Amino acid sequence: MQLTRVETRPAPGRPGGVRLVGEIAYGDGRREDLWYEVDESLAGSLSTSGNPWLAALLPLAATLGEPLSLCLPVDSLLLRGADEIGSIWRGWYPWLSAVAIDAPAAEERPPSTRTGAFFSGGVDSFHTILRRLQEPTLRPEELVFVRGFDLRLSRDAALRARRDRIRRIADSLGLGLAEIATNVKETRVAEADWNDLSHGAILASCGLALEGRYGVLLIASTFDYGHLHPIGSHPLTDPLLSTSATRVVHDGAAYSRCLKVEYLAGSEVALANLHVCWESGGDENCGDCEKCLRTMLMLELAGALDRASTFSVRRLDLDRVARILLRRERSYDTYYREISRWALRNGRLDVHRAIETSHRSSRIRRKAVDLAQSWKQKRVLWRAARRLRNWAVQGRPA
Amino acid sequence: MELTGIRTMEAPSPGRVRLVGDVRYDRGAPAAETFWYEVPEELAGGLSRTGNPWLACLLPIAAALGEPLRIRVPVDGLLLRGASEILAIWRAWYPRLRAIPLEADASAAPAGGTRSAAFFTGGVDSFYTALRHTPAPGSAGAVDELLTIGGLDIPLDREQAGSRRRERLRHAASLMGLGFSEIATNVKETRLREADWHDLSHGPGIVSAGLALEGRYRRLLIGSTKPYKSLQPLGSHPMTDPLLSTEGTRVVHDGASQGRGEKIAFISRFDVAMDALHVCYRGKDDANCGECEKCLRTLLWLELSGRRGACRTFSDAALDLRRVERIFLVPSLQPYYRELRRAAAGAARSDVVRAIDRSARRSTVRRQMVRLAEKLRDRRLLWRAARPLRRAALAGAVV
Repeated sequence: MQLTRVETRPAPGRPGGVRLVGEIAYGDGRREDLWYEVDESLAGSLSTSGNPWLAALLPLAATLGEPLSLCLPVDSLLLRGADEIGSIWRGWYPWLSAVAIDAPAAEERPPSTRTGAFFSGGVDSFHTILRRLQEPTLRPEELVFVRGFDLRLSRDAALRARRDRIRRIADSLGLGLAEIATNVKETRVAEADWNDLSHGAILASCGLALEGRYGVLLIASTFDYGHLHPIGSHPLTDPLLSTSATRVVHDGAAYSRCLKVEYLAGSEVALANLHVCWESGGDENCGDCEKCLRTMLMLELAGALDRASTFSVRRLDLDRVARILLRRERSYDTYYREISRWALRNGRLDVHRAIETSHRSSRIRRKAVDLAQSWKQKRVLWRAARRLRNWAVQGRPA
Repeated sequence: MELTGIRTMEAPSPGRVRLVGDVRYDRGAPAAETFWYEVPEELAGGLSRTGNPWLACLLPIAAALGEPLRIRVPVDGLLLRGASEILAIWRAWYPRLRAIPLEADASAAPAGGTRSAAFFTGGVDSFYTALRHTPAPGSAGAVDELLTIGGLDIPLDREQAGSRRRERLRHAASLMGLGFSEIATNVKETRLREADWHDLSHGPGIVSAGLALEGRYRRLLIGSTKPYKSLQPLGSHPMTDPLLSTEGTRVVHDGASQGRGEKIAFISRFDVAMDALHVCYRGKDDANCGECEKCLRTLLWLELSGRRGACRTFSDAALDLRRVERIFLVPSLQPYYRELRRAAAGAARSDVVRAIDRSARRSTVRRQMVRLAEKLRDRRLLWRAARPLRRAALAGAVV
């Protein structure tokens, strides 16, 4: 795959917007444009190097097994880091290919000065900015909000509502806001597994698209050091997306999810604006999906659920919690074990029992799902397979 | 514990200079110690004037002792953040460790130099890193020099062995077209011994010696121990080593993309490695004993690469597979032997496969007996049986 051409153009349909557009040619002859769009006030910071393109295309090149050639020079530190990331990914996912990267080496440029923190309004990114604002180092000066990730670009109204909310958060914390839109999830780049492989690299690519602006980019950790497993944003891989002038910092892995929520419980800004839900498709939290229920459990234990105004329901339905289907045993270890212990410590036996019921019943139901899967292709059993699967999953938050 | 002050002074040996740090502990004996790093006079200009090497070196001791760490000399802000992140990683890996506060003034001016160096012991990992970074065409970018540390694997009082090894490594460096520097330290004769060298301190211990020369280096490469595909908690790790970087000196954990077999296959193509390879720490000498687990493992890889005969630092005696059968595979060794077994099976070496399988079977029994002995140790009437049981479990085992 090849980055054949990069240019800056006015953004279509958005007066005052500027697009950094790269043309990608794939091994099968197909071509497409990948772009990053910012307000013209940020246009002076747009990248003129191959750095953001390397970060964005690396996961796809590893997935497709194609060599990656870039028409623009790439920072030597990033080039070495990309090679190392490829090795780490192959250690985690042996089916991926080694990527031969061909790009001219860029001259080192002086470090940029600003610290930006990627911000989605979720637990991890809220924790990073609120904690960093209290610490003497790596204090963010502005939030970096990426449009086009969890909400599709076509969802204009929802995106506007999200952006307005994030702008209010930035204002109330005395921070700037840099907004960048990208079509990356509408291109073939989305063929690389978002969760397992690409989300850290693509987040970094959005920051590097504004590399003239940032000396440090903070990516909030997903898992804490005690629960690390292969994932697209990881303390081993994210820092390797740094360039000589822009350091990418994976922040907050010293804190578990429960500790993060407990921290947010002390912030009215966080409680009034927390957004964790991917199911609602809007700016609210549905209060019904597994992720909402999990966050509500932690808020309840932190004594803050009644103040968390972005949840459409603020009363915990423990019957529903008990019916959560944990798709993998690891989900219990990673998320729920700690919540369950926290509940015990707080004397909330009802919460503890609901979680353990979900854990026990999920084991049985996962076996049923596996069995249904194995029956699906059998001549006589396929009808039973469907019923079995429905019994196992229907009406269960997952 | 506290680093109360640092100074530079003439070393007892002529023509050498010491960077000395005074350390006071909150509890335990000795209550105070002097740590030092010693270099030839011509390197003295690169010696550190900050708290950076001391923070790296004292961090594992403070974590192991559970004592707050106070560094009374300014340190680099990036390193201070990294150190606190390393503590969080260690606590996740080893829950027995307690959270400890770090107290230091992060106002040290960036102190890095202009040169790059790879730490060099003459072992497989450091030879791999060195050979990958020679000025030869096709290398991964040359380093300026190799840096060897006296006093780590060969104790300081074994002067002759240390000096023989130093000269051998210097010669190897010149054959590879690389510069050579050496630094000696007494850190392994201090209470650093109370921090597990394997699990906790060998990365920071090695890096501290590089940072003791931080005025000289902008980049320090440390050869990886485990590959990415089988990472486990360890004193030198791709997640922790880079966190020992400062604004002026970047620490790179190098070579984790390759497993031990791939590294040995690579270095065995070079005569310089076959003439100087040193992997054995059992004899605390500059020679390979050829009998310990690490020697046998290296010999097995050389055998599978078809280069055992070419390696002149092992005696000519044939590889004794009966001895391989008696290797005690503790859990941390199992990934190495799984990799070896796969390679042996691929090379149709059923004799090697059989020997490894026997070692694995015997190790299972030995491990159960050791576990039982450990349980008995704390029981009132049974503790006397624990020691003979443990002895019996490990009888004849190669460790």
